[in-house]
Amino acid sequence: MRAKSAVIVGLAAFLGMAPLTGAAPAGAADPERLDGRAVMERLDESQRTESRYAEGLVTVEDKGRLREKAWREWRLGWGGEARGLVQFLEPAEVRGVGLLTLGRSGRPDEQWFYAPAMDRHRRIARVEKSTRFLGTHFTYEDMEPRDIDDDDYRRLDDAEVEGAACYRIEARPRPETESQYSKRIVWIRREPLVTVLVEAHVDGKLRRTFRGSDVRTIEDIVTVHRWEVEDEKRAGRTTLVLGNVRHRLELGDELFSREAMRVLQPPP
Amino acid sequence: MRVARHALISMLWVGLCAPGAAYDTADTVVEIEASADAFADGEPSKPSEQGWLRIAPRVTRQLSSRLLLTAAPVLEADSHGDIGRDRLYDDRDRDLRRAPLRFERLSLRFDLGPVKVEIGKQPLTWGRTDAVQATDNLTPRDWTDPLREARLSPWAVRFNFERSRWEGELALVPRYAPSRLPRVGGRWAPVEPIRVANPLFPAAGPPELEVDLEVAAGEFPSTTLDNLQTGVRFGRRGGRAEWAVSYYRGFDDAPRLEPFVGELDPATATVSILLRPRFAELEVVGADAVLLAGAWALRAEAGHFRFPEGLDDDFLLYEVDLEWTRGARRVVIGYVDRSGAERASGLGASSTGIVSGIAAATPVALDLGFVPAAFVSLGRSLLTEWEASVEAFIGTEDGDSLLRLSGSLPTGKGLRLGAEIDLVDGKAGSFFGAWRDNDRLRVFTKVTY
Repeated sequence: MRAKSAVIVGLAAFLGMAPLTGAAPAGAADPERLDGRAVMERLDESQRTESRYAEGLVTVEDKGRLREKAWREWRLGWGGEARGLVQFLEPAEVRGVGLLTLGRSGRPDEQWFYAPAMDRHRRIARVEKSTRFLGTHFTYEDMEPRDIDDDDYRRLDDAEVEGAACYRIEARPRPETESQYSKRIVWIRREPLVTVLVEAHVDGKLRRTFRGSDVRTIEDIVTVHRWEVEDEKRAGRTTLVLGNVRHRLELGDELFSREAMRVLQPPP
Repeated sequence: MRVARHALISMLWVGLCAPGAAYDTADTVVEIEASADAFADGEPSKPSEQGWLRIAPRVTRQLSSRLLLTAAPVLEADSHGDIGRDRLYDDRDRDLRRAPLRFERLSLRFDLGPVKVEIGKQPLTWGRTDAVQATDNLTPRDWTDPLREARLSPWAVRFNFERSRWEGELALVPRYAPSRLPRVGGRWAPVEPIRVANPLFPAAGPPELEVDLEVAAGEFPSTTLDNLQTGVRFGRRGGRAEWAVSYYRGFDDAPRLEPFVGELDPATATVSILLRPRFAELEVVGADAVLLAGAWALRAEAGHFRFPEGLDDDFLLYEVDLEWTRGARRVVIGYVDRSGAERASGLGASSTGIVSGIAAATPVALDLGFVPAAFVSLGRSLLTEWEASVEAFIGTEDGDSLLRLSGSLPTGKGLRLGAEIDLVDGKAGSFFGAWRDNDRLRVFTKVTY
């Protein structure tokens, strides 16, 4: 089974479809000798859960205006085969709008978009993943899980973030994989093992910065509850606050179907 | 049947309104839209300004983990009489005018794991292409405003099955309703004065008589097991492609208006001609598919239409769309055509307005009347942000066209302002040409909360 990448810079990652945070497993090797890949694997191992639910409140600051969007998100499975469903609650204009992602290990994910006003599903072309997600500073790609084998890793010099010692890892997409990002630099706090900063680069230039805070442990899983995202090519920022995070739920396969998108699903 | 329907409606309303019965809190979204139209003609018979008001709440209530109620009524009013005022609600959707109240959805949905069952009023839309959906035969259209087609959700039972990469759907519609045509004598179906020779002259009356045209109530197919409209669809999705095949058996939603000569009244020098709708049995074997390649999506949909009573020759209706998307931008180029039989009729597509277009009793289907046609759509659409689009439909046979420019802007607090310009052109006798005096500017405001 392929391991899961810890270098996801995306909404899905924040919500648990990919591990950005985690506690170091017992009996780990000397942290000073770990290479980039090994750090990621440790992070992956500590985050692995078969399912997860969360509620998100995203605030977009743009040219002095504040706009809020809220959603629910479910994830079933892990790694490249993970399935995810996001349904928007607010504002009312997008209530019921859904995004279904079916991961296919080693192949591009399949995504469908649903809007109640149309009452039709629309298969989303892959290129759309580089665009902003519903007016936020996130992109569709940021919504996806990413397989650990999709990137090559290199450990850089350690650094501190807000006084905490961090691993610093560079992740570059492998040639056979698709990503809008040419590389990502990830700061992973050592204790507990948790990602607190990601810089995502496009064509060698910094494009988006993701800053994590409000770290809490939910059912043994260390989770960042607040992320701020800034885009170098767009003014303002998007702040994501997570709530009601739950792990290891019994979620049925049918929740991750196109038919399920037609109904605003209640919390588990 | 009537008792059962009323019992179902009552049950749905009780479920929606009963306090304390909810498994989860009820979910409500209300959309209110007011729009104003200005037309270029300004003829006294056709007011050049008109207004619409539309209130559309959508209420869902989870009665249990497996039972969901949904009510989506639409309440409408207009300034110019396209929306009827005789009665509030037309449950059968058979009135010639749209009633002020209708339901886009009023249904009870059972979640049985991979199988979902939905009972009640609901839209049944399977089409995948943008202009003409050959596989959408279970939900009739409403062309009260032909430039803004609406759908008339039927009472139906729908079974959906989805497992892994396979999906199937079975829908049963017990009662037939035809597509609603524009109001005869109104802006979109004008009736010009027609005069015919008086066959009784000189024995009685003047040499010419004026035709008094009237659309009669149709004789609808009875609601029996034999007339049960049935649609079944089965499909598979792959990593880069999806396909589905479907079959429909029922009645053509496009009515055939057959003219009957009625009473000749020498005293008033008029003869009445009654246009009586006829509803043909129909079978459609359909297929649709999408193929994805990077930013491109090739969508195709086709239906083979067969009329068991032999009222028309079989024909194949097909559409191919090529779509390109990048970010919020979307471009679609499409072509739609039919082969095997003569084209359907539009309304008013003749010098004498409605009459000659339907004289041969061809099906009056405004979604097929402009075929063969090409269309182009360019747009930017990102929910909650500003939107803009340009759409053009061009009849490749007659050169008639519809060009639509539209845009809207959110202004905060759930409010959106927008405008749309429809430019219609074509020679007399062509589909869009019949409406060439109806260029329209529409401004609208919509609030959602």
